[in-house]
Amino acid sequence: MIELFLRDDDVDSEKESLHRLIGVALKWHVPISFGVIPASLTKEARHLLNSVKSSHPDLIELHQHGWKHANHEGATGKGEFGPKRSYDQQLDDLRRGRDTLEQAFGGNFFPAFSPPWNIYTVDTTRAMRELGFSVLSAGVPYVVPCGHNIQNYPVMLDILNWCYPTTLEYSRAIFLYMFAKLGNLPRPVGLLLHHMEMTAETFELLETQLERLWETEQVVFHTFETLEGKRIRSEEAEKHPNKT
Amino acid sequence: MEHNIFTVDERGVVFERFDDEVIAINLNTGIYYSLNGTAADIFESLAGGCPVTELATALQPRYKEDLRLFEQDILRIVSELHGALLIEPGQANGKSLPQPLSPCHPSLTFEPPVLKVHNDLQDLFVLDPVHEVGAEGWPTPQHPQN
Repeated sequence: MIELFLRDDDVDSEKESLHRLIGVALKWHVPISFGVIPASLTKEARHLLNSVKSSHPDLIELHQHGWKHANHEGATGKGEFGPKRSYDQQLDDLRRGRDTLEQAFGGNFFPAFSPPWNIYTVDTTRAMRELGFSVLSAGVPYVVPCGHNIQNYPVMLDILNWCYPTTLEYSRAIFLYMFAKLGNLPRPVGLLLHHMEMTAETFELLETQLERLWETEQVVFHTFETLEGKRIRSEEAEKHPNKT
Repeated sequence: MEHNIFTVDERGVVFERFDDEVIAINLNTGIYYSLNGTAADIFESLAGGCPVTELATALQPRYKEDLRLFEQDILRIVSELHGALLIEPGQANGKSLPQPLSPCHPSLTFEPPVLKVHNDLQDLFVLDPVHEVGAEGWPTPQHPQN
């Protein structure tokens, strides 16, 4: 069985592209985990996300994507939770973000964290543990050991080429590669989306490929919550092999 | 041209038509290619077993122009596809010539066939996700000393 999840980043305001991506999730019954930027979350987006999460709890997941999506790495790179941030700074930002999203979404918020630009450090996972997070989702190009009993579900395939975001060839090649290697890729396979950067052609491509995935009987779509639930059940079963 | 029949190495090359173009990945080199409509038609015909010398005839029903006038373009793109290792010399398989792709009435304009080379995903595509990853996990490659 091939396990797959979709993560969409940079959710903060009610844009047409956000509506469209939500529509894709509902149309194809494919869950998407939306990474919400707490500091810039608008009231309209909060209403929209709460509404759609409440009506389709299995298809919409809301998790934390940074705090302000601010770059603190200066000219040397990108990162809000990167090496230039101390443990205390990261803890503060993480906490403010979590509190904001808990207030905005209540029980609709799932405590997973995706760091902007996928950059994080061991201090990030330490701060996450301190605040009760257990799920991180980072990925390409930055992979460091998690530690602190944090589970990382990385996104490995990004459908956008960030040098030339509108090149459709790149997105098509990613999907072609994914299908060619589907049985061999480490699981779960994480696919990264950015609704704001997606063109009409990219949306069409995504829908076509989701339709194909739907026809692939061995594919199961996940959220971080279902992945984590499965992992915990598996661990429990290993600890107590005779328990039914 | 030295060879008249070509095949696609299915273990090393994957390809698919997306609307107006074909994307092909050489999994051995990690390079991927985009083929415009004309190049895509030629590539798919070759993959289907059409001899090089029959390409113009096989594709003619789709195009408004007389494809005999574009023989040099056809030979050039076949040579480029071969150079990119997307096709390799093969043997006649006894199959009948592939049927032309729809539409069957001549409606297309024969644009010069173009094979575009992309290497921006080479590191990812060339990596064996099972056997060549490092301790950090895919897609981080194994260090040489590992």
